[in-house]
Amino acid sequence: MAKKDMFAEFKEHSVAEFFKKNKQMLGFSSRIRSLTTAVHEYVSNSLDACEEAGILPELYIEITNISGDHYVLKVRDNGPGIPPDIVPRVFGKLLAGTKFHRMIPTRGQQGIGAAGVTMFAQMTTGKPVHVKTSRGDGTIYEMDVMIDVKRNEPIVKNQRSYPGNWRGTEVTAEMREVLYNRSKYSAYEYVRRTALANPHAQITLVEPDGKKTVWYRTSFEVVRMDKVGKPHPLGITVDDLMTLAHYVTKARKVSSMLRTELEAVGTKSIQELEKLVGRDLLEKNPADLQWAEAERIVNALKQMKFRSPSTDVLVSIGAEQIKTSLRENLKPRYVAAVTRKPKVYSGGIPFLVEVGVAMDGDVKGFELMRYANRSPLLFEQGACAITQAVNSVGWKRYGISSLQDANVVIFVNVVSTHIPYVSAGKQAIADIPEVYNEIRAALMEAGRKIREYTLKVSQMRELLAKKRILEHYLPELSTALARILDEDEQRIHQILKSALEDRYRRLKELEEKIGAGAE
Amino acid sequence: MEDFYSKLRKTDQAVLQKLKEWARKIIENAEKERRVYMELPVRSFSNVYFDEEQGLIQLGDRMARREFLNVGHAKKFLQTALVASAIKDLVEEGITTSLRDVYYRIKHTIPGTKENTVDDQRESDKAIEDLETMLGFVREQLHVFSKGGKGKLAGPIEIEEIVPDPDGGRPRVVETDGTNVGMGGWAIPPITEPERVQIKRVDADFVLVVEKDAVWTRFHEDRFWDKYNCIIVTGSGQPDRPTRRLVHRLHYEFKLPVYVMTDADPWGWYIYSVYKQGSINLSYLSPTLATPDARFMGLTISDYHEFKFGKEVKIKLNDQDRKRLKEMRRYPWFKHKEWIREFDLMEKEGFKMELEATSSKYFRYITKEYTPAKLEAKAFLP
Repeated sequence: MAKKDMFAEFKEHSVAEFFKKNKQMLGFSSRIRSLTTAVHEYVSNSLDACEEAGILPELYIEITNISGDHYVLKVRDNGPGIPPDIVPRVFGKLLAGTKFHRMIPTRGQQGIGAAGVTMFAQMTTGKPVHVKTSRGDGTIYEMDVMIDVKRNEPIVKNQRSYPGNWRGTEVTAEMREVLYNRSKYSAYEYVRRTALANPHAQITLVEPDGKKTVWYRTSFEVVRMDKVGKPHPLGITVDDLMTLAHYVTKARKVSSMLRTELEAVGTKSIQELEKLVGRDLLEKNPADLQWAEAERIVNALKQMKFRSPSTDVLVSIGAEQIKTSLRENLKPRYVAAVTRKPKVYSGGIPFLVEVGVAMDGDVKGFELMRYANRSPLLFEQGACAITQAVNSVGWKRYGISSLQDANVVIFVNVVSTHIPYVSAGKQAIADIPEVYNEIRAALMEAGRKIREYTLKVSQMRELLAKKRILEHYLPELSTALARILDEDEQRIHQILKSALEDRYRRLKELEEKIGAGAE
Repeated sequence: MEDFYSKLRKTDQAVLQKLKEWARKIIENAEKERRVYMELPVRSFSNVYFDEEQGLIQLGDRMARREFLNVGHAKKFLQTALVASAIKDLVEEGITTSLRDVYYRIKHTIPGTKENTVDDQRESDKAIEDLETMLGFVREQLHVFSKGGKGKLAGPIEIEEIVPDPDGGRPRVVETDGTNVGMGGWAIPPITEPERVQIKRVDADFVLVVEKDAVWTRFHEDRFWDKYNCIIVTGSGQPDRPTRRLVHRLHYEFKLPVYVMTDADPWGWYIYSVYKQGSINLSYLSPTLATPDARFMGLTISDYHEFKFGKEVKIKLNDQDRKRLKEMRRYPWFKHKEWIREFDLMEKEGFKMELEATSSKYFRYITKEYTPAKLEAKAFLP
């Protein structure tokens, strides 16, 4: 179902109906994926909140199984806390657009938001989510939040507050029709990958069987995302515009909405746009904007010229941090990383690509880890430009004859204020030429780094194999020569062995170099 | 007798001495140069040339190193050392064995691998050939022979042969009178080096080498050697080393002219050249195996015309014959006008002819008319 239809129906039916019909696209499809989506919504909210507040994140995630497909998910952070009057909107109103108007590369761009989890929990168990939060001001608030499905408004119950010295937010959601395991689409995998891409966060996961895993911080640098901007007209999608029009803007005309809510749109731009889409459309009340009309506006904007958005809002992990994180978490024998300079696509949307590669050691098999703004992309791998770029690179040139047979993790993070997703599912990056080419260039740059390593490894393997052959021949040769000379076999063996060791001294040097995990 | 035996002992001692020097050099170089190698002449075709002056196919002086620490050489190096060690056993124990025996003696699985020391007799054979060139002794002096037994001889000659004692005692000496042998003649032993075979007396005027065993029997039955006072030899086709060695010795020790008789076909003519100039494979042995003064008696295509054989004896040349003929035209030792004429004739007339075809006239034509006529006319090819 296209997003277009999704919105058309949204107007006519209740949010419950809307949610049911669009579960797939909102990430609540299979049992495993539903749980992963729920974890994603909470974890990305927590990380975003910490970063905005300049706090080193510390997350605690606990998943307990009540019975069968019935689970409880609890996510707690040490973030800034949520003011009690905002809590209902965050957890009890779908498409509230709390994040949307801020033009920063946040994780929350992906997915439906925490209220989606409330909806899902409510639909499968009939129970509210429980929220506990405090801004560290000595008061802790707790409340149950549900959604009034007819009006798409929050219902708050059992609200209470009490004194306490704690800061952060803890959400507990009970849901059915979910499943926990450690498969590649699982919540476990999501958390593991999140930890890799967020080395400044400490994340604890308690699985249903009680197993506790802690991913410790490998970076103590606070990630700050305080450069707030507005959406850029070149990066805006139709559903973005629809959300703006219906849920965010206070403007009474489409033209003034565009001027106030978008970056780099001024009177001149509006005049130019008027020639392309007509005056009537721009005079319309945003609340009445139809999907097809929004589409016309977005298409027209794409033909126009705008001042480029500034690139300093792009927050990369950084090559050094990626290396440290991969090294600490995956214990590979070799690691390389590249963070490219920002580029623009579609005439002005800034983005940047970073790539990490970890090889051998504890790394077993091939794994591609895709990220958009540090948030793991687990689904729709085949449709993603990252996957296509990885497959298009001739890895043989870099000493990996077949990725599938190699022990290698390829980590790709695309950072942008507007990640060009393939679909509303937001799990695959579209293969826009500029983006695709930049990902390829980053992969190849990393490839050049790993070639030095793979070359050394293959040289070492070759030398080692040769040396082994000679070591097998050596006793035979010693015996034969000792027999001819009527001399002590041990002495002959010693002489030949020492010549052999001399010859293969280079092997030792190589071993040491590789062992050091050199660049 | 004492002399004869001590000669063998002296050679054996020299071989053991040389083996030791060879092995010591390897160890000393390993200590000093940190390299484990042996130096040996390159035996590939590129290092073989025709020595016009001596009329021999010779090995050039290009040397190569075989390095144990080079994985590409290591196996060959090991094989050479294993064979060398086996030779030491043979010489010390005073026994002789075949190439095949040596192959099995050194063949075993290398501990810790699934690999055998040798997988093909050719590998151990090559190792022995390499040792011949490095040690300066021929294989027979290293107590190793090939299959042997192909060669036969009869005629006015007295031969002494050393036969090793099975219990390691003093060897026996067996004497043979070449005029007093059965239909099989004297079987040329696998080793005909002077240490083992002594030619005591020769009363012949020349040596007649007959390519084919069956034709040789004709000559023997007809006591050709008696009538024409010669020694008749056959190598039963391509001659083995002891047969060639003996022909060589008869020529050089007793100044006997050597005449060779083969089929009139490219293969027969090539066999003649092996007796005369040596072979490419054993080029390093040419000086002791080849007899450059040997002359070719027949058959030739000219003989067909001269002796007026009927056209029934002609065998049509096949593609292989023509190919071989072309190759032989390129050999420098066949670049004589007489041979070029024969090549041209054969190519033009397109046939070959066997020695046995002389019987088309009558049995014994070859011993009664053809050979005597050739000897009379001294009509030999170079």
